[in-house]
Amino acid sequence: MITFEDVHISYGKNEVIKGISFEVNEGEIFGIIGHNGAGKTTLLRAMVGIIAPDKGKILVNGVNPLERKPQIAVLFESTKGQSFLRLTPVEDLEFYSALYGVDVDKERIHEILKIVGLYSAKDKKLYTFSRGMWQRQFLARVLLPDFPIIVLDEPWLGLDVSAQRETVELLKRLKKMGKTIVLTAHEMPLIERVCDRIMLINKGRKVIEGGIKELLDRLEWKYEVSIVGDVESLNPIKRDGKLIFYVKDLKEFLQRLDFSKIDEIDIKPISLEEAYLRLLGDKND
Amino acid sequence: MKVIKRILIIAKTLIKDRFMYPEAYIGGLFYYSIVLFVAYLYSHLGGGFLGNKVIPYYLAGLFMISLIAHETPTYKRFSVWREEILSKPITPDIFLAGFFVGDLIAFSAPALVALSLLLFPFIYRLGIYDSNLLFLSLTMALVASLSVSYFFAALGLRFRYDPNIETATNLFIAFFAGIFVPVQSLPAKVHIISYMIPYTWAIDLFRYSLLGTPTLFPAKSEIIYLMVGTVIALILGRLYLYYTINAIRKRKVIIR
Repeated sequence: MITFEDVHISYGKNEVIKGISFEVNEGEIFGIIGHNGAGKTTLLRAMVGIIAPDKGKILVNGVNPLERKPQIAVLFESTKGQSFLRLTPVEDLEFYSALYGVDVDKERIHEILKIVGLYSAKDKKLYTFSRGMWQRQFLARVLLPDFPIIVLDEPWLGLDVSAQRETVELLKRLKKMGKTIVLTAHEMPLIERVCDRIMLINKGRKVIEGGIKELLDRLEWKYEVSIVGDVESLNPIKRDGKLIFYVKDLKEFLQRLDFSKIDEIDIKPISLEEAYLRLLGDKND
Repeated sequence: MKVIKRILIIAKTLIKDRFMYPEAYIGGLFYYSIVLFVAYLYSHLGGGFLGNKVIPYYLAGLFMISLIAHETPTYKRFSVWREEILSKPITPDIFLAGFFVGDLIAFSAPALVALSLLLFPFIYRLGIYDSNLLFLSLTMALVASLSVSYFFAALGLRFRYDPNIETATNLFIAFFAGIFVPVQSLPAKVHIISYMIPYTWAIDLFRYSLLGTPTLFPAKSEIIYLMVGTVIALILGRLYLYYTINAIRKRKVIIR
């Protein structure tokens, strides 16, 4: 459905995408993750035809997005704040129908507002909306043209826990409706809950790609063990006052510990977030 | 038909939004009042080149600026909606036209009606030739405004929005196109700048037909300058917009 083949993209002399290839299959939720500046938004811009790759090939449903604007409903983080604040969500969607070049009647708009849970607020002014309601309005915008592919740049950015949960549920609903969704995000627990497959990129290169379980299985470490106590001799990673170990063979590791020197121990299967930090480190350097 | 429908939807959205901000009209009224107060002071100082026509001269300037002041809002809109315009199926022409029509109805129309009432004694006296010339100058001013809007749309796509550029542009146009200061009274060395702005000819002809003020060149020559200049500006403006979009695609000259 979406194919990137050895794509290179530079801004001037600065190459930000360095030969990335991946595929997004129909009906899946595909997450692109990486540090700030890794090239996530650049990939989305290339996907929707805003910028051209310097080298490589991009196809969306078999079509080069530069030749014809693809049927992708996209929401960029940078344009989220742009709205007519004293209008209603219905009027906002009417405006977006012109941007998408689609004919929609009031019934269809009401139907979309019902899907995203905003129907009861259909007569309210947008400036009265909470962040969670705004996020639902953004999703209503991308649902409007009924395009098969939805691209979301940072869908959870700045949302509280409840609004994040709502967005996760909405994305799952969209998937059930048969939509293919590509998103970029930093919220690993949410990505783990919603994405079928992910691609981790760092400094313009693909680090790893695949299903989340499959990726975690492929990792060298299966468990994260955090310890409060005297275990410095085992070369732990220090984080938040705790000593962290990424462990492959738990039994063997536990046998190496001297429990008389340990005050507290916490063992959990490695999460996507931990795998991410382990693969990329805490900082971009 | 679909194109017109899209343009009307965008225009309707802008009009509805504009009417939700009555303070914008109060701000506009305040601005017009200050300009007319300056005209009043100027007329008490003798009026210089303008003689006893200072206030009608300024009223005509306000009329024209109300009609054409669409380019700087275009700069802002194309800047803040940049990624929407570049990624959505809408063409930049439809986006621009929608806002242009919306601005014309929501912003220009109320001011033009009010100013027409103030200028009614002059409009009432117009003969057929002057009426036609007035209509031509207004129509071409609108087309010129559209062409300048194309340039500003390109700037908006390429650069981050900065209100100082908007203010500077408005001042530049007001100054060099002779909206508030007659071009004749500017130093001869800067006249060339005024001649290159299509508005200059539209404003000059507008005042000539309405108030009988002297023109920079013979009126017939100015009509030709206006029409040729406006058509060239429209072609260049549109070409520049599409050149910018292409540069964004190929050379990635986009704000990150």
